Amino acid sequence: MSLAVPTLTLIFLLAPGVSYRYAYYSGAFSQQYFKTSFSDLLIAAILPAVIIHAILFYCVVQHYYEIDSKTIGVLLSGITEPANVKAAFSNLYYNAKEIYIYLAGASILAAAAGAAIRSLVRGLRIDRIWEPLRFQNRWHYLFTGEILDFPGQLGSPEEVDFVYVDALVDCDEGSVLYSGILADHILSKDGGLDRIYLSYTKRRYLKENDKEGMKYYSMPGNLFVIPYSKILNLHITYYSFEDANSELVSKVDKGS
Amino acid sequence: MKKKIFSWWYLHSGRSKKSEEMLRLMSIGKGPSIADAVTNEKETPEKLVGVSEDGLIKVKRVGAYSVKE
Repeated sequence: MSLAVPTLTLIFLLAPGVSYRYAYYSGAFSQQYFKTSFSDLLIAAILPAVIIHAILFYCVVQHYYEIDSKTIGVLLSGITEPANVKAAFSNLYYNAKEIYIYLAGASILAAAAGAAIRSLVRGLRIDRIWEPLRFQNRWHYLFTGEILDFPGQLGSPEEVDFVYVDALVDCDEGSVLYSGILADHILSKDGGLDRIYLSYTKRRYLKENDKEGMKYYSMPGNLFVIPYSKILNLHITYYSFEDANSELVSKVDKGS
Repeated sequence: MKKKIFSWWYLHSGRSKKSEEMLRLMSIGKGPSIADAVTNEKETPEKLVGVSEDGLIKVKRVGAYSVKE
């Protein structure tokens, strides 16, 4: 038996674990799902796969089916004895439908469980309060103001209406401060920050700090992109609108 | 309807760093006034509040963090 059969068997057995992780690390936290290599992805799926298989075995499988552990052992171990291999493949062939239904069902249930647990963790803000459940994408917490929910922090993310960023960038003409409303951010493959998008961006040279009436130059265009590799220092400020703005919006809405 | 569903998804997906009110103000062209109000707040940081040049937008600082490389 070639090495491909044990590997394929392992992939099929770990599929529910992969589904669980895919659903749990979705949206802003999807970067955490992807690993550097395929083997890392499978290793990370072992624990959720074992738990899902155990739950399904005790709740469903043991009442209706009999687990053929010998066949699973032969497929996983890569034994080359013709009699054992023939018996294992014969069992697979005759029970293929049940095996497919079980693996597909387990993967769908795992994805549903992953999405449900993620909603619970995010909805109850457990990830913000309890560090072990915190997602690796720290930039998300920083850029959405959710960091204000972390223990020991003042303020509340509900108060945050928008995020304003001051990025100090070094260039040939000296240090430049780019300031603007944070529009979006993109993460790099290793989970770090790759670039930020600012709107209504203003630029100011730091050497003009000493001069009276510091000059801000408005940058043209809807979005201004700054690669994180060029940023020396990033200052993030959270702002809320005062009530007067709501009246303004109502007036403008009625007027238009 | 599709636009409404997309707006709701955009606001709740974590992609947007702006509140509904912010998006409404930007949609009526008040983006530069918001940036103005922030600039004015930064010039007098002890007050925590900034007002735009046209006097229509008033912002309040809720918190701040610095990330240094």
